Amino acid sequence: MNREALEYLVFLSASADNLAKEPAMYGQLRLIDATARAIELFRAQGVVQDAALDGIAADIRENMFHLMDDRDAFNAMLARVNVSFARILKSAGKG
Amino acid sequence: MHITELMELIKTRRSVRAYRPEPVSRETLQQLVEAAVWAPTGGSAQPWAFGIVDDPDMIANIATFSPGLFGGPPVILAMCVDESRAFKTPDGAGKDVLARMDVALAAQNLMLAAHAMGLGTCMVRSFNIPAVAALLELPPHIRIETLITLGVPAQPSGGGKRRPVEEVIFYNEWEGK
Repeated sequence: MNREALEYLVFLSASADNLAKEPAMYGQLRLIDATARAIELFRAQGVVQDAALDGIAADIRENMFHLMDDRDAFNAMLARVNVSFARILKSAGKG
Repeated sequence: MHITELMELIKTRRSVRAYRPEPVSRETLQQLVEAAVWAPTGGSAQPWAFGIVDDPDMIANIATFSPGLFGGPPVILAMCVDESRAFKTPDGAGKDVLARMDVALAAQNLMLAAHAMGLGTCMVRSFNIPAVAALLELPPHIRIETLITLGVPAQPSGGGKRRPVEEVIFYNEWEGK
């Protein structure tokens, strides 16, 4: 079995279970963490290797813990990430 | 130790979420648990048990079930309540509240001792309790309260903001605040 893929699935299912007992703001953290983990998983598995996606993952990693101490910085990261995804999506066309 | 040194230690501790891979010796781990067991404990019940996980495969499995655990720590501590040692109270507070407070106090002792040794820690509650209990093969009377990651920090931790003391304190009665 593919260990990295399995770990990603467990992260998602464990988060879904735990979030019912955790502060609501952790939902944002888990989702954006899952985004970075997916990018890292895609790269590790050779599914997608893309510098722009790597940049998004790096931005998430650098700023996601600001959720606890600097909400403005966290929200700014979320906005940047989505603008970056919009550019990637647009340049990807209809696939 | 002078109070200024103690305050410095308390105020410079941070939650570490990135570790270097160096292992932590069993001797050091033993010392940290010694710090933990000297925490205050209601009625000297000492209703705790401390699981030390330093096997890389076990760490990887626990981390997988712990969405709030970050940084590749070389050690994870499972801070547990031993319900068989908790006070039996009619309302269940002995094991549900008092024992939990005791374990929390032990955790703080351990984290401060680790910080004094140059080690970093992070207290983690975001983990799947049944899954981690199964991985640790815990008997029913041992209940995990929190995990603590431990290791050499990968980088110095900054930040750290607290509400001012004046804002959180009150003397004698709330009305005088």
